[in-house]
Amino acid sequence: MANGMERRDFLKVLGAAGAGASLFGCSTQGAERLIPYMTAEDEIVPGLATWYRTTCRECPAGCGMEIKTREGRAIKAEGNSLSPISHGRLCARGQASLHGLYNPDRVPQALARGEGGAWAKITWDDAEQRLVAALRQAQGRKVFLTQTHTGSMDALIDQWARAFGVEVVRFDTFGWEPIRAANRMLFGIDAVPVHDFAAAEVIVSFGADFMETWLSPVDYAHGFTQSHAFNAADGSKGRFISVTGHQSLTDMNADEWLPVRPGTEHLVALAMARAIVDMGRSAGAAAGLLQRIDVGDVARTAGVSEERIRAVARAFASAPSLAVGPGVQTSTARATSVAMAVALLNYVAGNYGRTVRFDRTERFANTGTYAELAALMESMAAGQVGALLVYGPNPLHSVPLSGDARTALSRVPFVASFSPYLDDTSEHAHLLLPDHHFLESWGDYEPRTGVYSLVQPVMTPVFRTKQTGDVLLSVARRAGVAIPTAANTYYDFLRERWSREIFPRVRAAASFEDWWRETLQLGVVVLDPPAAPAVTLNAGALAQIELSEPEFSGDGDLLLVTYPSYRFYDGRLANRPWLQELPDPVSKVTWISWVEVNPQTAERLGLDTGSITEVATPFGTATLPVWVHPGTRPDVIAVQLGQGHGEFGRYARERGVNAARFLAPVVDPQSGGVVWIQTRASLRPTGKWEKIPHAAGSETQQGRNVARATTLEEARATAMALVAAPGRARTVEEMGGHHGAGEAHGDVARKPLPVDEEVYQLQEAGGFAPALVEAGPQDFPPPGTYYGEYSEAQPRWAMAIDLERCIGCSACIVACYAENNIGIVGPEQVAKNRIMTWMRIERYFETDEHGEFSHTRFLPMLCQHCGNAPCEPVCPVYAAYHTPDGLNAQVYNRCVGTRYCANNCPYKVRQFNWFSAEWPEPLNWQLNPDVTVREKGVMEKCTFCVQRIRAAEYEARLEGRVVADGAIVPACAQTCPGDAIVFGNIKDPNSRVAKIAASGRGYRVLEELNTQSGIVYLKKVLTEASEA
Amino acid sequence: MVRAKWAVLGIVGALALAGSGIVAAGALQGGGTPQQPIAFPHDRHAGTLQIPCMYCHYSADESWDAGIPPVQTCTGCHAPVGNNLLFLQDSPELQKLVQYAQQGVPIPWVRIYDLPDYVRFPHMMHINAGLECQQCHGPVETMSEIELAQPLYMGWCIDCHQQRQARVDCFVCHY
Repeated sequence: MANGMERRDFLKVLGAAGAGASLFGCSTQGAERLIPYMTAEDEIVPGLATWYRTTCRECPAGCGMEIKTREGRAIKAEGNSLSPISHGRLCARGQASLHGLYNPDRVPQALARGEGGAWAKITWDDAEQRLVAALRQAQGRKVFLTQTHTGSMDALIDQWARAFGVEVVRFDTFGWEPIRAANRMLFGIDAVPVHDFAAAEVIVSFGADFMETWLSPVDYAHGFTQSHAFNAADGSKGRFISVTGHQSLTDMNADEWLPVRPGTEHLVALAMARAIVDMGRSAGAAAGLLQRIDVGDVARTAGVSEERIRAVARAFASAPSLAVGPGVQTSTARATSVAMAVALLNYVAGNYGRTVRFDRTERFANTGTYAELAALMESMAAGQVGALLVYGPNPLHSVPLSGDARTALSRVPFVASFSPYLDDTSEHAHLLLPDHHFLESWGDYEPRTGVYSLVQPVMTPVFRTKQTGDVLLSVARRAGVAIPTAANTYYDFLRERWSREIFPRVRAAASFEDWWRETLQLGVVVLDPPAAPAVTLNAGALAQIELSEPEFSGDGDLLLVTYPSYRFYDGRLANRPWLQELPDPVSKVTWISWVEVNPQTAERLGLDTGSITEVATPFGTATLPVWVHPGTRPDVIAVQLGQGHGEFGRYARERGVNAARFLAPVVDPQSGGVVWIQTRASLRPTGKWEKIPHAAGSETQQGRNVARATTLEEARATAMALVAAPGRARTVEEMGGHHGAGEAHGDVARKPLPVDEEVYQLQEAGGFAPALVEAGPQDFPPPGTYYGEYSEAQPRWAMAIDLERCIGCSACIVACYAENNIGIVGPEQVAKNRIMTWMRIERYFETDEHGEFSHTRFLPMLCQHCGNAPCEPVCPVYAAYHTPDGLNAQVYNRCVGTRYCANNCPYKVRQFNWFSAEWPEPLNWQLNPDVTVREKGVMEKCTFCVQRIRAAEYEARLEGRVVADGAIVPACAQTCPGDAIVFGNIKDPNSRVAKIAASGRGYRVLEELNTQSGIVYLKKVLTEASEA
Repeated sequence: MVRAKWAVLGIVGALALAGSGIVAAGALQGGGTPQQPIAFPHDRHAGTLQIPCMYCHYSADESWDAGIPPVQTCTGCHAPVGNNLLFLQDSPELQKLVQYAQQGVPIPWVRIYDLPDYVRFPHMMHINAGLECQQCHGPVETMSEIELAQPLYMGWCIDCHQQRQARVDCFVCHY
């Protein structure tokens, strides 16, 4: 060096500076304090977790939940395995509920508009007195605007509103009015049935996103994978056909896609019913209607072949089947007709009582309609509403509104909101009475008839909020208004109702007190379903099915499809940073909005992913980047709902575009629901391009054969061969070979070299030799690594991931963020590929022999814990190394941040901390104390949840036993609705992971690099129709 | 003296510190006994009166954390009522205890044994392996004020782990 300083000296100086800096931090003033409890807490042992069961209220599905708390703070959400709604699983939204609880933008206490319209902090006494006074003084209509709560809260709202002379309007953004209307008209049953996906072998969805937001997504996704995934025991596999002009995540899982013209879904459903009747099935009262349907005509109108419609109908009629729809993306002005046609299709196929059941129904008994909301907005605009209380909905964001409806709220002299956050609606309120988060609340929820799920506080409230049930009771007391169910607190109200209405029906031997305590531990009570009403077709209603296509407004050349966000539901969860940073399961885009465009259309307009375009409808215009989506028809563009909040805290405010602003407030006259698909749009290129913050590695596999697939015949043949010759160790070739299925294996497995030579060769090659070693994941340590502790007696922790069961929903990713303290980096850093996620779901669009899009494959990619890991030999400080129990470890306190390991990782699963992550208070309360919070300059990656491995090992050791198979469940595997991920010791041939890995479809990604990875993927099974 | 110790750690250690930004916490350096909010005499309780350690540090055998006694545990014996012989009216330290208890303020003890945040230490495994508390914490029963018996360097952990053939794998404690 010019000044004569040697490299070693430089490092010494650097080191001394570092040490000096550390000393400043060590004075006693900075010493940590040990804060004891005042009195011993029965339920808390410091250092150990306490679990509470409750019910998820992030969306209306009502999944049973278990919350892990440490020292009185909730740190992780998991599913309650006793719940028939969640089956012990959660979706990404449920996993992210903790970011609602600890959201730094929660309203910390009661607020009122003061001088000049600024918010002033007030006491709860003051707040309740103001509400009493306002209710007394209000002229005109007094309205309580809320959503479906079911159970005790609905009962209290009704009693309270009646006592105060207040009208109740209940509105759910996705209230499925068309389905309710169809069942009311056709069968005289005003309800939404429960769908048994697990019992259906053939599923046809008319745009219902049943794995994302439709009715009960965790239960339905769980049921779907049970019936649809290849079953090695009997060689069975279900079939899923999607009928929609635009593919959401659910449709991307379809074996077959019928990209029908939007607005023809009801005709296609009727044509299928007709085709089934043509096969000799009885149509009963619908015979006359179906006689008028010409399958050929419908096929031409819809833009699919008649043969395909007939083939799908044949499959549908030949096995236990299920048709579902419509979803938001098929809710045109014919949505009610779609719902009726789908009901007819199920009726003709004999599905009622089998896969479509009215014994239990989904929770819509009290739900109102969008038409009621629209009427209320008109009444507000006309100045007829004197007081409005909003508890739940955020109508100024979530639904299409007319221009003057936006000012309607300002005509209401008194608006109170119970929202825990300032959002588009509550920011216009005069009085804010922030509700507890549901994890701080008492309550109950009835997701389905006879399913009673309890909500209980898992920790003391984070802020000075108050549960709305308690506010209502307290306000009634202050106003001297009597409520039929006398109760001092909402907790008393809840218990009173349970002791009166539910306890007598459980036939428990115990007293109510004992039963209540036990029920709080179980979290859910499931009573026998009532007898199902008879499903008889009302012939007179069939005339209500419109056989015409809907009119679309506007004169653009493209039809605008809006659809719900899997991450944000109707937008209510857009302020959760985990969900903003989570790559959307469809587009892999984070933080922003985008418009989905078919590749042909994009080419025609000279657009590519990232091109900035102006999307215009007669009602709204916005600038959006393009994301090219082969699962969209060429004449359709799609924009997701849920973003574009005017106010909703720092993570959601003015982020992206609110797709509802492209739409006019059109009410479906038959059902009172929102018409979501109503207008054409034009797409005008601006000539600009931006690197959008997305986390898609590649849209195609680029010939690498990463996400492999096999045919049903091959899968069956392999499974049967294994049954015939069990226990035989399989070779690498048998596990899928190195060049994909169906190809001849030209390579001959090379004999292992003597150990020393092997090691030498591996080191020369930078860690992995481009050679084959005849070894499976169970053969650990692999040749070249068995030294010292790396003995046969050690387990090898490994994973099996079934691509048949992965639906790409990404719940695993949020679970991983929560469990492992992974930092949020924001859109700018994501655009620089600096997203910190330890796990990503690769999403590959596959093409057929003509180069046409055929289907989508999902592949969860995380650290493969290679037995022969490329990252390890390149680390200069031994921070990346292999543990004796087969984990590829990253030791943070050794890491100096050279990033050599990430460069050498062929799977690209290592993430570098370019910055120290920040968790604004109180988001940091969620951090898992069992996992180090990494800082700037450190590499990190999946650990297979080593904290859970160690905890299980210690527990077993203290109890004097070995770790049982299945005792260790990493966070990703725990939450997976499809049960796609299995973890365990693969060296134990009796373990579940070893059995699944050896079940015939196993392969390892990039096996040809000889990484000897610890994750065995099971190939996706393609059925004939969609086989490439 | 501390500075000298760091110097001999050499390049790898220094690089690790500078690069990772994870800075060793106070306990590693040792030296000095900080002022505790109440001068609690461990020698009288654990020594003279032979009260078992786990009477107060109640979760050491079942949890990762040994547990700090709730204020209630202190007042259980030192209740300022009647002619309680364990409540010495003239003791200024017990007067402090009464103040904390009556005001409902937990006692902000200064942490002496503070491992860096990147270390996971399961107390229960060590207690159940038959180790005496004193093997790490020194002769507490003789200390009028708790002081660091030994700086908690990793080499000291590893020495013991090797002697007892416990696991010495990095990923057992660092994750």
